[in-house]
Amino acid sequence: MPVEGMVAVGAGLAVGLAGIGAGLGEQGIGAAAVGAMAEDPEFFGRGLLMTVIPETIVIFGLVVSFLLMFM
Amino acid sequence: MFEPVKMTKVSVVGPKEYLDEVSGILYRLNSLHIEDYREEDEYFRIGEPLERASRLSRFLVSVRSILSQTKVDSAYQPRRIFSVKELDAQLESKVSELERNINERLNRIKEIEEKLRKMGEERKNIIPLMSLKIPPDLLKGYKHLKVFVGFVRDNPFERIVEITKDFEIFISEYNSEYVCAIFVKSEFGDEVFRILQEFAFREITVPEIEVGYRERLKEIDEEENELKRELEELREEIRRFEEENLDLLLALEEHLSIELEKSELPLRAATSEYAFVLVGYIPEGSYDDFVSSIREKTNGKVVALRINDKDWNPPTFLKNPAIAKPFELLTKTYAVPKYTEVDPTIIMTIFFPLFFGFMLGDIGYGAVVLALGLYLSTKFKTEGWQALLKVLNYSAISTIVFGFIYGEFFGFELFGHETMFASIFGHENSIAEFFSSLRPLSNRLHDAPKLLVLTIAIGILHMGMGYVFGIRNVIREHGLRHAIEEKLNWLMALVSIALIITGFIINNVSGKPVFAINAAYILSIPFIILWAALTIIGEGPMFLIEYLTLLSNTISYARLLAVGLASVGFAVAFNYMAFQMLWPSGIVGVIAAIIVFIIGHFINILLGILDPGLQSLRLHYVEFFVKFFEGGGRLYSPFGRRRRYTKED
Repeated sequence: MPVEGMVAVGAGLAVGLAGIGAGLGEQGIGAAAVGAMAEDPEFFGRGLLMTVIPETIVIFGLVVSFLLMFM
Repeated sequence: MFEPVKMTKVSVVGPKEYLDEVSGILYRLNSLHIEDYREEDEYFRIGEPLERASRLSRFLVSVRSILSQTKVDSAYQPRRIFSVKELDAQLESKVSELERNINERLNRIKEIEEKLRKMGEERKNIIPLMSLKIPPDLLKGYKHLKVFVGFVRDNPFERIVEITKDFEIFISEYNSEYVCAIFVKSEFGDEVFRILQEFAFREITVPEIEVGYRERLKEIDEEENELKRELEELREEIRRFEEENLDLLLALEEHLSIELEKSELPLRAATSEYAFVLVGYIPEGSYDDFVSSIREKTNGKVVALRINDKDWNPPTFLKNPAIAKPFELLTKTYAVPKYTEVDPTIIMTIFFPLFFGFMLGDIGYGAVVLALGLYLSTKFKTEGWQALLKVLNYSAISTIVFGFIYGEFFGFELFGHETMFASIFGHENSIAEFFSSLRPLSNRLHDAPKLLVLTIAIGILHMGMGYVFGIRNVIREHGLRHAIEEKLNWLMALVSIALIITGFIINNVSGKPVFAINAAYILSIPFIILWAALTIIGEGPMFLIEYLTLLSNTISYARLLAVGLASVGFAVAFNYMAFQMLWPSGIVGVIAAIIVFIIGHFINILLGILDPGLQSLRLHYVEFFVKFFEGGGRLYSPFGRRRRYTKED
């Protein structure tokens, strides 16, 4: 499957930038979740849930890069 | 299996003097989840603990304070199980004997610690005084002289001269301060003291010693060493004593806490002048047994009866087959299901290891993780760890199975033309030929687009199941209409998303433009209309935007492939690095290659446990549970417990 150079760069950017965005989103949520967990360890489940919500953005980036690379 | 155990509300009623006996019976039955009685009225009051409670709690405090000196492993297996009768017979003598043994030593320890503290202080006083070079007996005991010995910030000579010339001052530097001894006539004492205060005077207590400073310091050192040795011996003795008596202590603790709990049962009951009433829930299956055993053991004086009142809020008693039991931990970490809710543990039992294996999928990694899990489960015996490690073991087995499907072994290809055996033995070798004649079911790197579609399909199935549970939950709690407007509409949305993605794939495969009309696109239209109509009626037009959330949830399942590919990528990279070092540079290269190989795969396995574990959990918590699971139930905790260190006869 021939992949043009710029397409590969674009695919990399799609994942990388989405990762940075998700990281920025998660930093605040994660800190708050750890704080809440220190108060009440039962919050772990929900804390994890809240923290990983922005992660989906990376998956979007990944899917985009897949479409670029393979389709 | 999918539902918590069915409960029945019962009340236990009888004459008050039977409370003691009833508490014993209930404790042994270990099935009544008691609802504490709270609202007192003129007729019913909260009961008072049985008489022996205060005595028991006194003993319990002693035993616990002794036990608090040792750390007991929660998985500790006692060598001897004490019978309750034996403990009861010598409760008083045993506890006081233990206490005497420990307390004597503890008191001595306190004494020694106090002595050590005093000596430390004395030393702290003596060392600065030494720099003054005045023997201690000259620093005190004058009739007409006042002596000030202590620290000052600066030399107060000039200021004291203003008051009197009849004084003597000795001063020397000490740790960026001054130590001074000032001798003045008693009548100037107060004034000099006032001046000294301006210099931040802190008095040093001159120790009562007959010998010189140096000798005294030596004495202190010797005495200190001796006391410290004694202290250590005492601590060691206590430790040994507790180790010898650990079984007894644990048995006493258990026995006393059980007895105390029993004797405090009246606090949870409603009592009138002559009668008591206990209300609680028991599993429906044990109702007959419960009622008859209470009647028999009290000769019919105490009665247990089913009650149907509107105050119906039973606790959740999760019941799953043994294989699914460890996964209850994961469910409970999210929330305890309400009594009326579906218990999703079984689904997690199937899908958690499936997702984990799908992501990690490597025979070598699976075997390492399985070995690690089995090893750790012999080390960590607590209930939580055991459950967690079982989850890990199931996941590892699934990883091995997927390893065969993908044909991966530590990132090498096991089957096909590029089989790892060909690189080791050469293509002519019979083993290599055999393996290269086999084909993996799917090679992840080559089949990535196909697997991507598969992950989305798995996601749609998974979430569809979530909505089915959701429909069932809402029907139970709010009725069919709500279920259709809140959950069924979203199931429609999910179907439409599935159809749209199918249409997209059809166009892609057949090489048509992305939005060219095809059957799947057309088929999705009625579902979208149905969804939109139901949503607007049920939840309002604002909620239409949630379609995007569902879409992102669906795509989120692509992580099943993504995490796996990242892990393969790492493994392949480490293998490549190791191989590059291996061939050209002789023995050094071989060693370096082995180190790179081991460290690389070690890191990758650690990541391979953590990441697929978390991602799999996330797919359940975020994408799956949210579709139906509200939680907020109370766990069923019956009155009674299993004995570990004691036995009833």
